[in-house]
Amino acid sequence: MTAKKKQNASPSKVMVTFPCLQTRMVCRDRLRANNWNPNAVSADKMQLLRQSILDNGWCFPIVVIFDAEADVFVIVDGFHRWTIAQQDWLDLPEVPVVVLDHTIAQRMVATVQFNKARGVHQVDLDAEVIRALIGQGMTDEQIATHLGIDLDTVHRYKQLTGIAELFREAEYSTSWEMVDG
Amino acid sequence: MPTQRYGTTSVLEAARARLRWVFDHHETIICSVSGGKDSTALAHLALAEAKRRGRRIGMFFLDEEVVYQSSADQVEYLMTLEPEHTIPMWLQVEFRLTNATSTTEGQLVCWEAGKHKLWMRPKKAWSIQHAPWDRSTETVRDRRKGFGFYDAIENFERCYEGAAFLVGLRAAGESPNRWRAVSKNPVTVDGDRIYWGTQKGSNVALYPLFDWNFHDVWRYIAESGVRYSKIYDMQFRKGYPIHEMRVSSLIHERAFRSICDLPEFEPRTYDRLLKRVKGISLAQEHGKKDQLFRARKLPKNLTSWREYRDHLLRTHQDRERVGIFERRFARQLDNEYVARQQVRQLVLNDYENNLAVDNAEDPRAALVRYYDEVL
Repeated sequence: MTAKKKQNASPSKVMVTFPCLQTRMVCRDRLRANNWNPNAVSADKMQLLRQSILDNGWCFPIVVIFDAEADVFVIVDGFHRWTIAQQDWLDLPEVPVVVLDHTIAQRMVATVQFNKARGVHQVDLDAEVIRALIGQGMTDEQIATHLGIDLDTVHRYKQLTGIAELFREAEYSTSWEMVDG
Repeated sequence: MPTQRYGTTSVLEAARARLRWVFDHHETIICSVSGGKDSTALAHLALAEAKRRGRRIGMFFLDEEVVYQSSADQVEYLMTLEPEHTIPMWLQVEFRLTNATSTTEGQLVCWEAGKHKLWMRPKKAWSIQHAPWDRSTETVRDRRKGFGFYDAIENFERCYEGAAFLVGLRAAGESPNRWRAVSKNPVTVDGDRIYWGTQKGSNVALYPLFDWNFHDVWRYIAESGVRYSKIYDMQFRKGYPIHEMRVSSLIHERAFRSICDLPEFEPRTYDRLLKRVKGISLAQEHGKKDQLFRARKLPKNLTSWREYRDHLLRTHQDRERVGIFERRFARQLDNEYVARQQVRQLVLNDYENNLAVDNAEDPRAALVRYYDEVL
């Protein structure tokens, strides 16, 4: 809210459209990847995306433009969700899309905006979430599966102690001096 | 040539004995702190000795403004730990810092007058906010760079006579080169020859933790229960190797990679930094990658480091600084090995030559010659 106010001096004059309300289902084979997206999603994050769709359902439509010449929908954002719908993963015949009416430049800009305008998790808050989930009775394995992290990472987060604790039992080194030799 | 000889005591006992010697031989003792682990351990040890003797020591922090909030919090914690035995010396005055993240703003004037709305933090009510030294005799090491970090330290030190400045420098720590320079020039105090110190005018800088390893520092922190900067725990959770953990300034040419993880560690500090310093966003996204700032990989449209260097010189935004680079490079060898390092200086806008170029023959050239002969 505050961020929005600072960016726009008079928020009342800003026109916002809601294309997400025009979501419709189309056959997954009518979609095509674009050739400008620089985003790469790692294998573990693909697994997490699949898990997220299984746990929460498909919440975000794929954003596309319609290419009348080729008679296909070109993906602006959501290439990896589309991949998840393929035979190798969830094998869904239809996927939800919203269609934007964008020029080529607008499409490319939109892709970057969708990719980059996102937050990161604060490291210590991530650890808090994991501790809270354990408090809710989830096992380490369940946490690893549903959050898309390996067990090793869960253990790291679970270590409530800081770095100094690791050295509590360490032996002090032997002192030395510089002498004229 | 002085040589190294092992003693019979632990580094902790030795450091305590050294501190007793410091207190015996000096009336004015000032401990420098940064918010890092080494100076935290040193300050805690020095405070214990001051308390035992019912004395007060100065605690000096040269505030670079562009530091982790956790560092500032840590310094405040240390300065208020034993108020009866501490004279806080938190220096928040204008000086110049190198900014490695921007090609147009090569320096940042920290605590710059008139920019108080942009400062990373407001100044502390009880800090030293105006240079306490005589401005008419103020010294500057390098006029072209202007009044910088070390100038602020040196001029501050000259406000005292016969004082001992305690510094948490370690021989086995992050700057072995600095240690070599230190131990070459021992100091003599009341007839005692001290290898862990440097003469600075009428004052001495002393390094009572010089023989500590990093695990000694952490062991001491764990067993004494003194608090330490939260950044270390975040770096630990994030899987940083223990030797690579740093809490220093956020923007100079060696430390600016800390910016990569800053949004995860201290989001509010990162937001302030975005407004305060140019070039932060790009450094945050690409600081750890091999291309761009680290100059390990050529951009794909270029075929040699020399070509990349010449391209950067041609297109450099700051025509005044480009002359500095051109004159420096003209004196250096023309090979790919040197050119790669020159590229690194250019992308970090290191016109001050902080990351000096190793002006040597390409090590690969000798290897190629060898195989040419053998095969």
